[in-house]
Amino acid sequence: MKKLLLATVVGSAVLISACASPRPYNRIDANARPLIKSMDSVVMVKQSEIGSDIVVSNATGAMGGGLIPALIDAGVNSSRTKKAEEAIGPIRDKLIDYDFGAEVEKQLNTAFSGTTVSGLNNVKLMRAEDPKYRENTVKASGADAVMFIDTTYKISANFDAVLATANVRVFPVSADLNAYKEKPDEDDKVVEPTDNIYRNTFMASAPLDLVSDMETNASDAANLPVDKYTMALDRAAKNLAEKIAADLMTDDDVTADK
Amino acid sequence: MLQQTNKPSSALLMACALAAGLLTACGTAPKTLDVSGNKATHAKNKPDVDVVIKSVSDNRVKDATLSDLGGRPMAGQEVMSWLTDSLDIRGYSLNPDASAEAGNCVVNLELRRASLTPTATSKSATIVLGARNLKTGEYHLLRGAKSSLNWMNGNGESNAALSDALDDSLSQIGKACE
Repeated sequence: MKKLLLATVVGSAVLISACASPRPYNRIDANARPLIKSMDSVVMVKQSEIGSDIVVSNATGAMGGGLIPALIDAGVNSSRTKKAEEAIGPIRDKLIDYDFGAEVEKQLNTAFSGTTVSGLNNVKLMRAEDPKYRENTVKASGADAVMFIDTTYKISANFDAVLATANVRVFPVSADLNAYKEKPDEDDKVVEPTDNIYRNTFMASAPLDLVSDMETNASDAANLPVDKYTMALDRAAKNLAEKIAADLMTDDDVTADK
Repeated sequence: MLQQTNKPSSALLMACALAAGLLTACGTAPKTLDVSGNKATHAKNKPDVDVVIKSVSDNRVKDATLSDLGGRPMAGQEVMSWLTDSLDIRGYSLNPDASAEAGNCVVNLELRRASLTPTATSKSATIVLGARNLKTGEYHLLRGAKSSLNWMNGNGESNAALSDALDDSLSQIGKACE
């Protein structure tokens, strides 16, 4: 009987641990906040042009897996990409003098302007990085922490809105912050994703006021004035920056599972 | 009696070599931009336009990377030498002393965008040239693109895609001479 009970407990523990998934965010611990007096901030915008999007084919999932459905997916996605890329050309031409990276940098600096954390409102814009850049930046930083913001922007698959995303991570530099890593470990001199003391993902969208199907929208979108796009992208960048600034100031929810 | 040996079979060795080769191809080493993607057939694709290029300049977004396909960065520093070499391979003459009054169509070319981006299982190469006709002063954007399946994030396929996108861009150069 005791053996049966033990097996049930062990089995349940295994099942529960298998079901537990990491939270989609990790906010700054309230106790860590006073230790962060300075932060280096980098925003990475690698795109030189607005991206396109597609509704991704999922024949593999619908047909229960297999090589043939996977090949079908690859073919359909390739065809949809080609179509979306052709349709987005005229919009990219309109935006040839627009720099989304510079706009995000400006909006982030504005959103962080009231901060008391030194360096946070001096965001550095980067458009490329070598594979060791982040690790080297953290190791070389003289601040208490380093923040990396990865940003993308694109036209929605239906050509009815612009979408901007930001993936934000803050890594500790000061050894005092090591205890607040998402997955605390010894200071092993290696910067791993779970070494973050903050991570979250944000999305902002701004509508283009087109309400038809993809093909009609794409055709109409090509005739929209450039201001329509620049204003929508500016708005998305501002929205993104404000969300990031507000969330960075929010303490971690101690009742949520880590 | 069968004799057991500790020597690995040739099939195993071949499998290991193949796996090593694939891993090397899929590695994170930066890709390089070169003219290997320029096939001999590209020169034949030159449109029948008598155009003289007076200058070629780089007017891309500052510090722009060329590609980060598959996490393998492709730096953009060599892009101008790649472009001038590619123009040369395609039979476009670069003449800094060309005069717009001589009757030819003389243009100043500038590179506005050069990128290779991943989308789902595909890759999209883009080359955008700006061409200013020195006689009329008109400015035209020549957007070239090539979407294709992304097989292995390979150097060769990346170069070939950029080369195809350049072909697509140059196929429109006649617009600058109308």
